[in-house]
Amino acid sequence: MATYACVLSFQSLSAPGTQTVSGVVDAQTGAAFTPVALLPLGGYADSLNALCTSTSTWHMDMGLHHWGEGKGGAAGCGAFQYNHITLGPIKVCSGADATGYALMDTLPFLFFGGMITGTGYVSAVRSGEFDVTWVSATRASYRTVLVLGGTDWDLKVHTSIVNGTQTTASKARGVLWLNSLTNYGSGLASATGAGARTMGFGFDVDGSNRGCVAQVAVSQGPNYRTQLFDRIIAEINQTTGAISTGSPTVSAWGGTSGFTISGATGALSSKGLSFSGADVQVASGRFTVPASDGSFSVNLGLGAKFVILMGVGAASSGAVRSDQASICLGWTDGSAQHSFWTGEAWTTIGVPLVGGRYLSTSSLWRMATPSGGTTAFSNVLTLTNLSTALGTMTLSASSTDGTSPEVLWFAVGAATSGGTGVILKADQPGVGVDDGEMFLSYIVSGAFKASGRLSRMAQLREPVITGRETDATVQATLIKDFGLSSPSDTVVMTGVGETHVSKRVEGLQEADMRILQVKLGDQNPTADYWSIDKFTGDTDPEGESS
Amino acid sequence: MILKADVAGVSADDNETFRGYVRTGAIAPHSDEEAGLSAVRESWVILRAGSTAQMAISVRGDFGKELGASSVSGAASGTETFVIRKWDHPQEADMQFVQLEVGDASAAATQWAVHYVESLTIEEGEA
Repeated sequence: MATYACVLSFQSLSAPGTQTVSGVVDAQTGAAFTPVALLPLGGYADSLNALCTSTSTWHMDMGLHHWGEGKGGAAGCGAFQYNHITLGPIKVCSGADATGYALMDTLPFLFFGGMITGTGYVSAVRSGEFDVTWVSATRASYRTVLVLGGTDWDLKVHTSIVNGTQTTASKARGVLWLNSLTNYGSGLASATGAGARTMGFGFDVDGSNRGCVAQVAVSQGPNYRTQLFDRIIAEINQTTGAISTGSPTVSAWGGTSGFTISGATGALSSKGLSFSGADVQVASGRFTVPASDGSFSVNLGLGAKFVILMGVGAASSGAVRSDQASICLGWTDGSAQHSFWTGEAWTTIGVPLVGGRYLSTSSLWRMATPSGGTTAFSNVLTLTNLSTALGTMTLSASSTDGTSPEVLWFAVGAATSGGTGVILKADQPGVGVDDGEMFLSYIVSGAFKASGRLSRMAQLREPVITGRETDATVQATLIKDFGLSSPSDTVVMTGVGETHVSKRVEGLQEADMRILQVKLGDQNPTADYWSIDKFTGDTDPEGESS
Repeated sequence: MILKADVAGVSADDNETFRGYVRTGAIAPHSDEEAGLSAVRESWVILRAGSTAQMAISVRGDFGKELGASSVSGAASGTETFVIRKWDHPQEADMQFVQLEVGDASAAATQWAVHYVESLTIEEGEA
């Protein structure tokens, strides 16, 4: 199926201009593709894989660009610490929107309600790369980008969450929302908004789950965070800490296209990206980080092209916590795994802020209690395998602290090529893959007394495999005494035109065994095709032995 | 109440330990019309690897007239799935019928699995 996904990172320009970002290659097929939709995410990340505390504050900048629809949208927010002469450090938070741009940098500033220090948009797309033109830029900053392309899914931008029907070109399966709302008027306008802005992501999926994460840092006020599993977006009122946007959900999914939103309080200007198509599958859910380090698996139920994780370090509930702003969003294409964390803790006027950012290109999710330059991360999740055959995601949890935070996930792809609901039979002669998947096959013989009685050991001479002539590599393993030792060797079943060949397996001429078994087959999952008629060998008893 | 001892991996039945064993049928390896006698020179048993419990292995000559016992363990030395154990019992002679019994010496919570038993016998003179 022609659906492509790629996760990559790049550093923006520090002055206006155009840069080319390359490396747009579908992680699962290795094919370069032309971007259709791009989701950049960052927030004054001065470096990769390092805690950024050039300002001990949280920042988050997100955007969406759909090349075919020509629509962009970016929003950001952050905090700023101003050292007032008499009161000490003062926290100023401001957010910004930039209609017509997909990338931006916000910089809270005491005056003018904050600043937009960088604005950019995707100015060109080509196979394997795209151009970003920075209309304004003052500071190079790293970003991670989820790049999507291909013709076998319909990607559509939605510009608001308002009760009513949203249109799509085909059967809608799920929608991802940029949660970037403000109390100071509708979001994603072109003004620089003073004051705080809720930042996060949300989603809804046909036949699956919905949810959102949200956090906000308020000027001279508490920092809030929440994680909800009953709605697709949430704005936290910076004065009351309450959720002011109702409970928007997708209440109905059209049989052939479109979806209906209900439960929204007013019109919420927020960019969304829907995924539609006959063969497209979208799924979502949540899991709890294990209390101790180790590997665990998440059943996605589909063969994912990409997976997004999101969380604020707490369990999903209706509660809004007022302890800190802290959020982490991560995404993977099955190969690359990036995540962006930002957080901040504040107590009162005069006490310095302690916050920071961390853009990782080697982990999928992490959490921390913000502590400025001494912020220590916990519950770090690293992807070890994304199986399209089984529809699972295997993660490794490290630095666990026992708090077991809940993480929401959103995945888009296609039906699994294996796993539940699909039976792979490997029954096509001459075809070495099953439903596109290579596999490993082997046979193990029964156990034989090598010398005829257990009291005498024996040696194996002249081990020979006879089978159909192919170019397959067959591994032969001699299992001595039920696995006490298991030497192996390989032969290639090629001939010079005959229908069957006999190959001696030199490495299996072994001694000192009472029980003998032979295992024949593939060494690794492969598309090789082989057919074996028999395995023969001569056994010679050794002396009596105990 | 019938205790079935049928839960794999559970070695106590309704919290009661029990003695489990297997006993082969009786074989007269060298018997002929003159009722030849046999001596058992060595016995071999193949056990599932893993259990470190000492299992009793005994030879029953002539249905219990002659008894000899020893012990074996299923402890593996490497990664083998089954272990091969030998028991030398040169004192076990003068028997027409031979049986082998392998299992618990007494009621225990041990777990084991016997895969195969084999004895090497030699013919004695007529008796």
